[in-house]
Amino acid sequence: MLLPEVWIADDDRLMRELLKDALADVPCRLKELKNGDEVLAALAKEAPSVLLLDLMMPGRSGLELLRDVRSRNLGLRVVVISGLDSESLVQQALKDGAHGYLAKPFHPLDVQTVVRSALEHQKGAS
Amino acid sequence: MSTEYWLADAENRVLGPVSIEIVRDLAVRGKLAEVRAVSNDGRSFKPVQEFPELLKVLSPGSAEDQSKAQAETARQIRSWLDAVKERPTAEVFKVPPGASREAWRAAFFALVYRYVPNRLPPDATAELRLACEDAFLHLSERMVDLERLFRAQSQPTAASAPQVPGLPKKDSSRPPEVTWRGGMIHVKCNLARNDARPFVASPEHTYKDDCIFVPTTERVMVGTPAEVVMLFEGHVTQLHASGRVVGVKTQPEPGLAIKLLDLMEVQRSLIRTWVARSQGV
Repeated sequence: MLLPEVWIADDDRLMRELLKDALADVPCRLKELKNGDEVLAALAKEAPSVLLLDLMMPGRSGLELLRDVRSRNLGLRVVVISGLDSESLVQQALKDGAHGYLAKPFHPLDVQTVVRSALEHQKGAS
Repeated sequence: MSTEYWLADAENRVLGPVSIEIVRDLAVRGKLAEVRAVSNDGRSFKPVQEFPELLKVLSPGSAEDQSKAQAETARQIRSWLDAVKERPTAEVFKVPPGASREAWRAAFFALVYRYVPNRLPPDATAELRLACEDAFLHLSERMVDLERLFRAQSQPTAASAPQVPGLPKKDSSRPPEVTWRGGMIHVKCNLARNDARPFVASPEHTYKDDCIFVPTTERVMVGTPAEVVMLFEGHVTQLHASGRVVGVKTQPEPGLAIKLLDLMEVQRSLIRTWVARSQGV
């Protein structure tokens, strides 16, 4: 059986590495993307089960992508990652359809937990 | 519909679309240090100077402005707390009943991050700090109850019935443990909610001077190095600090005064909040 795919979209290489390490024990295939345009280009071909999305990226912001993904009804779960953990911004991300919000710096176990939950929901919905 | 903004920093990383309220919220928290360009459509960016309404919000506000913004945030948190207090946990966590333990945990972490008191800036008002702490404790208590239920469900053969959800109400403070490790003492304090005695019991050595008082009959010399671990009921955060014995008392209660060295502002803030709460501020 093919493992579900989880995409990591963050312009910070170190952050992508940390996320990859955190997800080493979660049975899934990982794909790294460096900015919003790469995410859009990849989404044109396929969709992952879960997208870990940095809110601030070069060119196209995470919030814009979040709305875009939602409007396409791709069925994937988006977990927003950001160091900008303001109450109002979190509320907006959740209102815009984010499954969860991970504040940087994050604990690897929290990453695992939120991704497992997103995968579970995605599986239940599909 | 209110105006939306896209903000770009020096590295052309973009945040948006966000309302001016979100920009204000982030600016107050010191999260928007380097806004270089702004757009109203996410496509054409102009220098931030062309957006006077944003400049006003982004420029460092007066202490009074910041205090007002923090008071507003505290008010919002309080009203959210009032709104969810009587609601079922599934509704608060937005998790369908019957979901897995991991799903509950993920929902809890997503919610609670916003209220972790030590994520607040050091100059956060006591009002905001206490509001965050109340929200944090409220959510944590719900999660503790859930964890108990999950544990009880996973042990169907246990003789005793699962505990009724709720934190123990009795005073769970334990006397501090003082042990010797080489030429150093190791002090471990388990503080029950509302117990701030180590920080205020000795008027000459209070938290205001980074000191604690540890009741003990252990014979210790002034100047002895100390390692201190403090656990706060209902808190994930523990306080680990090194220090030195600066006073030995024999009456009215025998004990040691320890000066905590190299405390970080976030640790002082945790102590201040704990003391304020115990005093019913």
